[in-house]
Amino acid sequence: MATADKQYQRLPGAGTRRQGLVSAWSTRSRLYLGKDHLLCVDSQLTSEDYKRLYSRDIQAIIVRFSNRRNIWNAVFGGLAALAAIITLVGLSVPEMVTVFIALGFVGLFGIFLLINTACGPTCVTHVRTAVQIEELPSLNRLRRTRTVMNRLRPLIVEAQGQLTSEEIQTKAAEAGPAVASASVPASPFISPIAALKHYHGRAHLILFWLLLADVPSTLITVFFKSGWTEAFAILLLLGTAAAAIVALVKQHDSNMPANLKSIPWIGLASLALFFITSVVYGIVLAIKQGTSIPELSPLKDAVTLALTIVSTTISLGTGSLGLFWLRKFRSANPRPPPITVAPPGELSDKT
Amino acid sequence: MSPSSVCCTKCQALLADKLFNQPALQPCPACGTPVQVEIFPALFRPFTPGKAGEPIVVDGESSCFYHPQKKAAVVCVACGRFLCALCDCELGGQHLCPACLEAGQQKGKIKSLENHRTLYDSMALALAAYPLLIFYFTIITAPAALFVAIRHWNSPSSIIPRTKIRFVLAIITALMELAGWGVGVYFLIHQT
Repeated sequence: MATADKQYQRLPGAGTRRQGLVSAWSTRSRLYLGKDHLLCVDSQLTSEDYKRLYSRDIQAIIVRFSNRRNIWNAVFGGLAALAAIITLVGLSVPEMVTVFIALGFVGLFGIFLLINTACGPTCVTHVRTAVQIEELPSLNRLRRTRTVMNRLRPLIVEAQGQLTSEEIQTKAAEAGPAVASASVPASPFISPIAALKHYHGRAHLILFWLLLADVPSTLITVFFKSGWTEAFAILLLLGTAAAAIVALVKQHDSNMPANLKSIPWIGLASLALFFITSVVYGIVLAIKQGTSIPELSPLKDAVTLALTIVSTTISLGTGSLGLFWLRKFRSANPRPPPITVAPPGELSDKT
Repeated sequence: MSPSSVCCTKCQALLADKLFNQPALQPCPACGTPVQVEIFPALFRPFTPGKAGEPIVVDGESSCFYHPQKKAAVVCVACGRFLCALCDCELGGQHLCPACLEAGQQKGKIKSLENHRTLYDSMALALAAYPLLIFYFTIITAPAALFVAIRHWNSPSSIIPRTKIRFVLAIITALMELAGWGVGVYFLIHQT
């Protein structure tokens, strides 16, 4: 066991290798350092997959900064702020149970926020060989990646040698953008990101119309409130959320412009934000009044009216902009015509 | 694209050589994302094409087992077959034929080619532990966990060495679950 233990040294870090945009099953990825190779271990529940990257084959290590830390900081900060609001409201009530629970959540999310900040900036690391560009999910923090590279560099230098800056410039100038000759074929190179597919935006079209439909639906619900109108509004909300998720999946790795791709994100984020805000507001009111969550109407409550106006404005704005941008995108990128095969009769007539 | 060109992993834009081997992150010229690229001599290594094997010129010369028209160059260390330059699969200084290489990988005899292993210890522990959430399933999963743990006690586990603690925990948990069922059935019978 002792000899086998020395065969591999565990490198710091662990990451998740996601299979596509919506992944119900994620793979835990770790790195180990062997004598002459780097071992990537992807663990599922009951099995492991191994990839070996030999030191003599590693051509480049590419580290790219990512915003994941900032995004999670925003999420934890927002949740801590919501819990803090509930704490402040709970202070006005004699019972302190709500305050203690809310303070607990403030502390919990605050700790997550501190840990995430202390771990340092996040990054995405790829290793390039002659035949692949492999992502290393466990190297997802810049500080950790640099530590690992400091351990890996001596092995690679021992296997391949080292390049000075002058040699890099000379060899890069020699290589240049030249096309490989027929006698020496170019080394196979697999792009890490699949070629962008054409997507005509049908799911986005449905989403934008649902966002626009929110305006009349809200007006009807406010002025002609009944069980049917509220049920329809809830169905519309769920339908919009589902359409946004489908649009996000469809636009992944597609040739849609960034502004069009941002609208499903904005729609989903605003839906979630207004849902959470209305729930929190209901809880706050219930705590203040000491009863169950009250039925809120925009015509009777100023905060609800403000939330309704803002959410409807956002729906109208995103829906209209989305339709406008989608129309521009479709006219600039028409759908490729279907391939038609001439019936055999026509060919024989011509011959 | 040149084989020695390196691209930004976000926007796929070509990165200039002045960005290579810098101590700090540098902005990508296309998307502005900070990137750090460290390159090694293998990037500029020329691609060497594989050997095709020489045809037999003299009658009676030893021929390849898989290509009778080609001259035998080496012998497979596993099965002893003669191999031409095309069929020769060199791995760790040893010469193997494609069939022995495939068999070695599938049977797990060539460790350096092994790329998948089933973790029976994790499977046994999962069978014993996860169904505790809905205890009624444990009447089926506890015996299954015991079977897997005993049947695969000596099966190869992860290539990263680890102890049999998962098997032990699975057996203990499964036995406790079965004991719980036994006690429950006993009290049920006595109550009726």
